Amino acid sequence: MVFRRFVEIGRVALINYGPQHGKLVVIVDVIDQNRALIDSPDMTRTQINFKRLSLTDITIPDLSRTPSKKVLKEAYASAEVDQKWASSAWGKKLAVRAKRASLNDFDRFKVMVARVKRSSIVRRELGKLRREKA
Amino acid sequence: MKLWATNEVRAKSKFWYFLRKLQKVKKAHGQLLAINEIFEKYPTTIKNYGIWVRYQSRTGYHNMYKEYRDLTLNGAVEQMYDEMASRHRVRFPCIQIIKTGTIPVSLCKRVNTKQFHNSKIKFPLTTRKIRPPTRSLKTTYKASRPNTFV
Repeated sequence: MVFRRFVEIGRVALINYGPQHGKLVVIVDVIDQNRALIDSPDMTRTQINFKRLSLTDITIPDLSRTPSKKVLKEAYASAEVDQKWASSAWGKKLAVRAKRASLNDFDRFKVMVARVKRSSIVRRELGKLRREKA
Repeated sequence: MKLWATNEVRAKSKFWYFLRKLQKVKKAHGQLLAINEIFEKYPTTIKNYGIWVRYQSRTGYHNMYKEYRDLTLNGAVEQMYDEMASRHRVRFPCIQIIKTGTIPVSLCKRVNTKQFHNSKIKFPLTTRKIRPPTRSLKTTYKASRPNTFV
């Protein structure tokens, strides 16, 4: 059992429960065994239980303990956390989920048309292969 | 006098209780001048709180010194009450807080607080319980067994 994601200062985590569900935050300090102090450029520094955090692979390297807001914002930007998140498989999955949940009826119609079109191309090719086989 | 109570009425009552132990004055002979809620000055910095407690156990009165890491003094006091109840079965009425204070890192006594005095602290979260993000999405039955590895 090798652990790859650690609670450390600078670790980026996703809040997976509660009113701030879905937000990316940075662990800036550890209060005790169950709680961390988290911060993000667009929220006030608060404590959170580790049970509400999902650690990601992204870390901000060389972040000192409880940095000032200005330092945190600069480090967050220079580590390109948002870009890394958006290009990660996990981040992309969540983005797709969010997009699907936000579709209106016309969008769902467009999705249906696109799916039908794609499947018709696939089935046409499949039909060709079957006829060759037969 | 600094004391902890769930509301103002209880706070005033506790005030007179403690004052009677210090001076020969009771509520009927005294006048409460001010009652103010004290708010935490720096609620975003982690502090090591030391709490000196006098509590009544089943066999007598004892003193204790406890340390907690928290952002606010109220948080540390809440932790203390919870811990006294769980570890020693002592309830709120049997606990008197003698003194509280923020302890500098060099003077902390308890290993449990000192283990977090590490600017390069790093540890894994060994088990992960996946739960639905809201209680309304909870289901009684699941299709597969959970995997609790990270």
